[in-house]
Amino acid sequence: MKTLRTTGNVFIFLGLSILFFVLYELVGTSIVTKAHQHTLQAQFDQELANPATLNPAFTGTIKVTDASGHPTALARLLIPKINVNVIVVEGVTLDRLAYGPGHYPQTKKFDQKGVAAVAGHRTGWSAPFFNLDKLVRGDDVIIETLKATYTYRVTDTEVVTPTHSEVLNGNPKSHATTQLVLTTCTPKFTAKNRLIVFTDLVKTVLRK
Amino acid sequence: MRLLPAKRGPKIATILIVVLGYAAVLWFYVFPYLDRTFINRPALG
Repeated sequence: MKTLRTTGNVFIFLGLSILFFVLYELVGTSIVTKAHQHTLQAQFDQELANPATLNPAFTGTIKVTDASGHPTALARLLIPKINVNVIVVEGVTLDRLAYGPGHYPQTKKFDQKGVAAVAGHRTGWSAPFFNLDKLVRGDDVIIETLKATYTYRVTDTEVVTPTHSEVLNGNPKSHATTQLVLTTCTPKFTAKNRLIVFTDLVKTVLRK
Repeated sequence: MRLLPAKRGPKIATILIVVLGYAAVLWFYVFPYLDRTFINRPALG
């Protein structure tokens, strides 16, 4: 009887620990990211309001971290279909992705021709790319930078293993010179594979 | 052998310290490890 009771207590203890993990993953991490995003959104709006950086001819270096080492706002990512409105930071380390989706440093900047890529969380950390699998060919993905607003259109989606970094070179079936690639984990709640969304630049509106 | 103090006050304090310590270890060390190892690694390469 005593053994049964002890076993029962162990299972209750483990069950509570697992529930605590779910709380951490779905609530705790998101609180951190939402706080960072709140600051980054305000920072980006403030930068947009500063005329010195709005000139399309602006060629200065945009800082990717502030004085205390926190990443600064690089661009705003909007995906209307899945209600995404987040600030992108530079870097794809897990520390950086705690702030929001991250731009792969080895890919082109958003204001340059070529392929830019962004990684974002699918589970926890505010899960900006939770519904990325809902995107289909023809959906719009918008990037706002200090120089311009870029509208991309989804051309293809793909699931690859985590080592297939060649997808960062863009969609091989596309002839567009400027592309945006979005990456996230798939299936949901695991890091087994990566979901890749390829998009082509279709419209650029420079800031006046 | 008694694991917990007999008096009520110290007993509650001991339980609280152990539970909070356990929760802190999970929250700051174990869960982040599980998260970055098995659940969240959206970047490639």
